[in-house]
Amino acid sequence: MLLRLQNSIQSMSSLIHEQERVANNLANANTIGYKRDRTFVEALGEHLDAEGAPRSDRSSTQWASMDQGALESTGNPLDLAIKGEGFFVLSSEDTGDLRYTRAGRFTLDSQGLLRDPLGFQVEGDSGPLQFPALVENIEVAEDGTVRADGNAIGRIRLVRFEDAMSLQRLDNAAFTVPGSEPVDVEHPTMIQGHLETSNVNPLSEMSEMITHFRLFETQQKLLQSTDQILGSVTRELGKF
Amino acid sequence: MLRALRTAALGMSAQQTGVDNIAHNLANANTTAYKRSTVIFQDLLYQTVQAQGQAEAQTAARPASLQIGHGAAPVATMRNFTQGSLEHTGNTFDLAINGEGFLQVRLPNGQVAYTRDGALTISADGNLVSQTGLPLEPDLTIPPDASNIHISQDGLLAVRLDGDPNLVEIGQIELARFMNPAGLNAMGGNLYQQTDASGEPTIGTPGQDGIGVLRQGYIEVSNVDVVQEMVGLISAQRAYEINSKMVTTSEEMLQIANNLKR
Repeated sequence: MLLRLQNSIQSMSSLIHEQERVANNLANANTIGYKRDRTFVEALGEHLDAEGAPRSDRSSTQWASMDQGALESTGNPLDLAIKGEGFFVLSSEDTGDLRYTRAGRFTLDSQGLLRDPLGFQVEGDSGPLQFPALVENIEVAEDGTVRADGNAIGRIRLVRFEDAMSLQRLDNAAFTVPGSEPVDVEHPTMIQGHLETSNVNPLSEMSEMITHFRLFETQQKLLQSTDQILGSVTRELGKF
Repeated sequence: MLRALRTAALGMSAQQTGVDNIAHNLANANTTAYKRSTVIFQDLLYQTVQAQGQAEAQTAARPASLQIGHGAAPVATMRNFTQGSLEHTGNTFDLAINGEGFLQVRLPNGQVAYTRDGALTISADGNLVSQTGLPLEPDLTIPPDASNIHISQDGLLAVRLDGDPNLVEIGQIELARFMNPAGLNAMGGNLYQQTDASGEPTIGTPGQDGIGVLRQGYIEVSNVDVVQEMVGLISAQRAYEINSKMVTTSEEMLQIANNLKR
């Protein structure tokens, strides 16, 4: 009998997760390099249950929308925005773990290594990028070639993934890709002195938020009416 | 459900930090040699959850079918050390640094602090000091009978002593440079302190290795761009607003769930 409540319960539970996802997108509307989180929900295995009520399982697939975010000019020579596809490769010198990000806000450390704000090293074609001491003029060409005072010191590596759906999120707008090897981008394009802003569109997130809210309300009403019907069944049929 | 509430609240508090920082930049739009700072936001850790009614087969194929984030938080403030424009004052002891270097001043506790604020003055005993009375490092003393004080672009301090028609060199101003100036610790009062992140200073005379040259009679104005800050303010305010809508919506959803039981 309670099976009839299952559809609504499952739907409400998944709407809560959807709303949490929208909340996270909205919270990151101003996070550099953030990619909006999207899900696609499909009904699987629609069938009639033992009581003849229609049932289905839901499968939600989640992915990061890789739409280009708007470029913001900062004038800082170590701010890099990727135009088109690709990720910067960051590495941890402690664990050797790699992470991938489009947030190109970098800085030099006291030893002249290029790092992100969390301290991960930025990888070039041949290892982490090392700047000479007291560099005055830093130029990053569109293809990622870095020149310090006119001398080429390396090329910033940009990679892409065959299976974009396998990206898993880490913090600081970074991703990890378990079980998938990155491929170097053939024609990388990056723009110095710019940052890629979050690609969250507040308008569409707000409309999603309202939709989830109303659907949640609808499911609650459905649950309540089912409950009412069950209630009157027990009350009315129980009279004899 | 409470997670969406907390996520939105964290989004609001992150934007609040952003507004605080913009307010600080705007308040210092006319501070000599102030360097604007920017708050950097990050998205927080993701938790892998499984919604009720997820098909098991799909779960196996994609181990993290549902990752839910926990909002945003400020991760760092980054100071932008781009050159501020130079303003002519005509004061003998106003020095602007055109380049990357810092003047060194000695704190009362003997430690050296670094500053770009070159509005200097003379103490009662003839030492060159900052406006807050901190002496330059190394010390520079102006003789009491000196006139025509001249500071060259490469930091040479030359004066005309009483009765002598020729300029006499009496000292050399040195500048310090850091590999990562963004890593310096701001102490307030236009002073910065070296940290592990900034690295050790390289001391040199002005004009060497991009350390910058001195301009006597000029000060460096704040590098805050008011238009840029205002645009940032609008963006932060709107983001704050939409996150607050998320808080009310989550709260109402919680209420709806509570109303399931009449």
